[in-house]
Amino acid sequence: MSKLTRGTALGTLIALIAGGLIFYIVTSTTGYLVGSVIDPLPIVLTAIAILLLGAEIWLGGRIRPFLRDLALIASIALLALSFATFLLARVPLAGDVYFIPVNYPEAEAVTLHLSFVGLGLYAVAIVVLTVAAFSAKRTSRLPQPIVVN
Amino acid sequence: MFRTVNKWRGFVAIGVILVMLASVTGQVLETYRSAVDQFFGTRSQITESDKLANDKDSWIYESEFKSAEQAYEGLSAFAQEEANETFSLLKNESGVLPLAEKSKITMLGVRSYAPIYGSSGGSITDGFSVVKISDAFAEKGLKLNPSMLTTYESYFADKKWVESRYGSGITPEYAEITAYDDPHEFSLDDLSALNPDYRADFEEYSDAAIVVVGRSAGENGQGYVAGDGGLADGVSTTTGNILSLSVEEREIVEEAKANFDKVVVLVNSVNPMEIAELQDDPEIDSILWIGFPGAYGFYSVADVLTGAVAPSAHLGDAMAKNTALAPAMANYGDIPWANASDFAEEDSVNSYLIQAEGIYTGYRYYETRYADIVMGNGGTEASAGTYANADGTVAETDGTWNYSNEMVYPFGYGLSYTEFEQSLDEVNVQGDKRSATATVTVTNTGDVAAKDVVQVYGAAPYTDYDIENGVEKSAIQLLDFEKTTTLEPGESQTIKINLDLNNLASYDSKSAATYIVDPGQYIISIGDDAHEALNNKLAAQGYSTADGMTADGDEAKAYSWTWDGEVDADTFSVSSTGVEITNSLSEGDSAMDYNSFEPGAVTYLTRSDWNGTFPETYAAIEANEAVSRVLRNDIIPLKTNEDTSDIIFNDTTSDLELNDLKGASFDDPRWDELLNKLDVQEFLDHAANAFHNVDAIESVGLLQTGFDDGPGGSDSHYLKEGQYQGDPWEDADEYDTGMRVAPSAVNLAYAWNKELSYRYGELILGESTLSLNLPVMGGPGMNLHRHAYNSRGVEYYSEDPILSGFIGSAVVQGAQSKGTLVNIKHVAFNDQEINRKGVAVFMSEQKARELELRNVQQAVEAKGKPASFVADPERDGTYLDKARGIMTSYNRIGAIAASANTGVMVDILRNEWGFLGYNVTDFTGVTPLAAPKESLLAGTTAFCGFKVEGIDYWTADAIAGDRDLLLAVKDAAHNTLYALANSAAMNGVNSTTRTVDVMTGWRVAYGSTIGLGVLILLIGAGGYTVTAVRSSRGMKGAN
Repeated sequence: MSKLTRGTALGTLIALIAGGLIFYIVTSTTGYLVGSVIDPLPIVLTAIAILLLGAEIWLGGRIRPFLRDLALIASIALLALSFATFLLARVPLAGDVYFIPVNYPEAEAVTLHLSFVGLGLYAVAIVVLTVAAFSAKRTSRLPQPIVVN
Repeated sequence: MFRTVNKWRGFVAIGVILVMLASVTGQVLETYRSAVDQFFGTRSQITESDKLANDKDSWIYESEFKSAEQAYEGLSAFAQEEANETFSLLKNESGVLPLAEKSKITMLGVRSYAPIYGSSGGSITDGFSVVKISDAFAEKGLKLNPSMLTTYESYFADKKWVESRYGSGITPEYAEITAYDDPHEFSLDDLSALNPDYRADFEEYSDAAIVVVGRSAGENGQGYVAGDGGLADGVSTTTGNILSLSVEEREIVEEAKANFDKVVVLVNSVNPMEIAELQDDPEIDSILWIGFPGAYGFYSVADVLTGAVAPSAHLGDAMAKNTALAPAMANYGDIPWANASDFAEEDSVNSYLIQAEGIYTGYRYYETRYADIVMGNGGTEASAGTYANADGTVAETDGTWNYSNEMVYPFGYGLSYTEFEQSLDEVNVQGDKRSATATVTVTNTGDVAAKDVVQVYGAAPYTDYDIENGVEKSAIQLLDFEKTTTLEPGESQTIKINLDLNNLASYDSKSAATYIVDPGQYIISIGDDAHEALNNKLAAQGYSTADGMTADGDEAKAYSWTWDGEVDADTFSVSSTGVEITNSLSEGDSAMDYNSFEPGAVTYLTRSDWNGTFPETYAAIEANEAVSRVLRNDIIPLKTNEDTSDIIFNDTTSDLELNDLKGASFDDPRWDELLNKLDVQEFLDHAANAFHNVDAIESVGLLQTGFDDGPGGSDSHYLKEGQYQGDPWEDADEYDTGMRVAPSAVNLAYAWNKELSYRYGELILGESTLSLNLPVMGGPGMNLHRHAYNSRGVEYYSEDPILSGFIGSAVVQGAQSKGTLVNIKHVAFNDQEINRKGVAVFMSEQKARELELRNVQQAVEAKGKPASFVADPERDGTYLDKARGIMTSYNRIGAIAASANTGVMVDILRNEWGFLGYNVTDFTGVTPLAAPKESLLAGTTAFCGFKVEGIDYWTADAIAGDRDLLLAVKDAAHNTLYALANSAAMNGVNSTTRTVDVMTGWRVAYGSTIGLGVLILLIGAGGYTVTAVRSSRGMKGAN
């Protein structure tokens, strides 16, 4: 993969992931949830995932394939955990809006729906990474056996 | 299989994702288990017991139903029996009703095809059980106009009843015609568009036109709004209010008048509609109020229309010409604090209501102002915008208040197919002022067998002392009531009623700071409604039509006596528990009188100056420092350094379990021993997880206990889960219907029948408990109807504290006889849906005590025992136990969270009334909105919800240094365990009883997904490893 392609891929991924994180931070600190204590776990986990991904994509073939794969899987796991933590934090809002007959304030629904956007960005990033995990292009960077006739 | 690692790598990724997400999903589902159960109709935890030799002793309460068929038939029969008594005949000219048995009728109006069977939200009528109006009428022999049926069917052919979002199955209503701002009636053009020949069968089906008009109601949305703001675009009504007839509804009525000699209007609404034009129209022959009849109620409507049953209901709310002119409406809806934005979102500081109308809600307003005019005490003068014109519209210039322009059908009104004569035979007033008896004979002087209602009213004098001290007096107020048995023509029944004169005392917060009895003339009167009883009282005082009365009264139906001396502030200054009654809501953090926070801010309506004090809207109030402090709820500091070493917890030396205290009194000394075993954190976790659930407390042997809403019977569980003494019904799978089949709570109240209400409690709530194993039920709903616009009024009974109080009390007693741990809701002052979570409700202490709280008090203190029960030795064991459960309200009481208002929860509820038992918040969770530590200290035993959020002290460690809180934990546990020990929660419990987790469908789903994820992960990791190693070896070999 060329540097340009690698950079584009990395940039796109980071944009998706960062977008999800931004929605998490914004919805946790403004609107309906303003003043509430924000759980730092998604922030930390996402940051680590971004670093791992960045290292994996940028270093490319310069590190052992196993470590690259480990970094990829680890990133997926970290993002999935971030997604799950984000989701857990919004379940009470979803309960109020969709499942339990209370008259919820409009701000709560707005926060919830914005959170859906953030969660969606995380989900897309996870799917992209999962598809990448299946990609043979990653495997092709493994050293090929030298055939001696 | 795969030669390269990429596929295996992909599997690992998928496995990781599946495991992560399914684990989180599982965690969420388990946390909110009770809500998930409610939504899916599952039961994820059950209690099981092994059969023991002495098992019979463990079953304290016995269900009436041993099979699903018995339950289905029994509920259906009761629902119809109840419905028969709940329809109020308001008009019947020339005896148009009853119709002949097999009459050929034409049904007109969209509600004639798609009526409102019950509530839209909360106590939703079970759609699986409903018998549609057309089917019910046809089964009863009525012949329905086929072309009209076809017309409506063509509109609804592709529409379905609503699937409830909240686990209540099918709601028998169409979303397309259900709205609070639009009756969605069809115009004649609409009918022609649906079927150009809709008139084709008018002539053949002309025995009568039945026009149905209605308004929906429920715990959803914001409810109704008066005036233009309450009308959707394009909707126009007679008076400009949504509760008045729309243009289209009037078109339908005119169509009926133009084509039929007999026109009957059915009022299918529990919010009082404005129907003066129907009352006054000579071409409208009959008006029958049917409210919301329930699943089988249209069988009963047919029976009443044809005379198989004589109507016997009376209105429990006054029906005004213009509902927006009630004084209460000046302060209704969204009235935000001017500085609401200064508060954090989590504080839920949104709006307030200054209930400046005081005690003058409903008939208390209309009848008292009328009486003052008759007696020459003022009240005639009225400012623009505060009174009605003759046509019911709002007067736009200053003028004259006229009862006839304000009232259509008074409180208590209801006709019959026969005539009754009532005589007030005797009244004996005890010298201690506390009680009296009234003996009334009812004679059926007509030709039709029917039931009648005896309404006994009282009146206290309005004196100079009252005027000086702001004590208001209603000119007439309901003291008690009874319903006769069915009287044949010529038959009489004499009923002796014990009157509790506590309910005639007035609360003086300014001077005596307790209940008072003024010197002067007191009158007890009877009448077919409040207005007639008032006229009888006025006649006894020498007034007549010459003084402006609407009709001459009958002084023979009134009894008067006089108390001499000074204002008596002693007789009712001590409660039945021996506690001194004094101001609890007039000052301090619990204050409901806003003047205590801001002196002179509020002028309450007084009958000494009707026009000058007619309520204004108290808008844009800025919460000052004193109010703001209380609004933030966090008013009691947490102590951390107190010596609590003497307060015992976790003492495991005792073998006592809760089962050993089955049926024990609150004062049983063994409670101390059991409570010493309590683990504090366990209790706090239990208390924080009370959404439709009573969580276990293992340290004291409390098992997880089922809890469901609501006042209409189990919301989320159906007959297919039914059981008898722990054994599932053999035919359970054949029935997917539920318990919510009876008419609405308003209908029940309008029956004015305590015995019927007791039976309702036994069956609807009690059998929800016993057959469906739901020991705790959220009901009855007992807030008062402050005005006509609260959509949740469908779950509450009446505007009057005695009618509501005695009906609610009967329901509680019936339910408790079957072991139900009731949760009377909501305590207190839930007047509207708008901003219900957090709205601060203010009023005078007199209003608070004499209306809403007096109403709840009747149910808490087991008052209102029916005269028939008093006379029946077999009923000696009834009405002995006070209510053992309440649910507090979402709204604030004054500025503080309802559950934290010590004035109501401690001074009045626990101390004055002696309430002991379960006290749970509405759905607040342990959050700042619920003021958790303040509420715990005020007697709250649990918080409906799942979570602790925004509160960092809800741990054993955090409260370890606060004596009051630790003692409150023990007190809360004591009350909870006592209430449960005296309920069906202990039914069938023996030494082997345990809670068992059930593998529900949703548990299978997330569990199997986790398993699948692990499998994929392992396969992927294994395949990756093997492939990578092989690939590596292959390369080495090549090298």
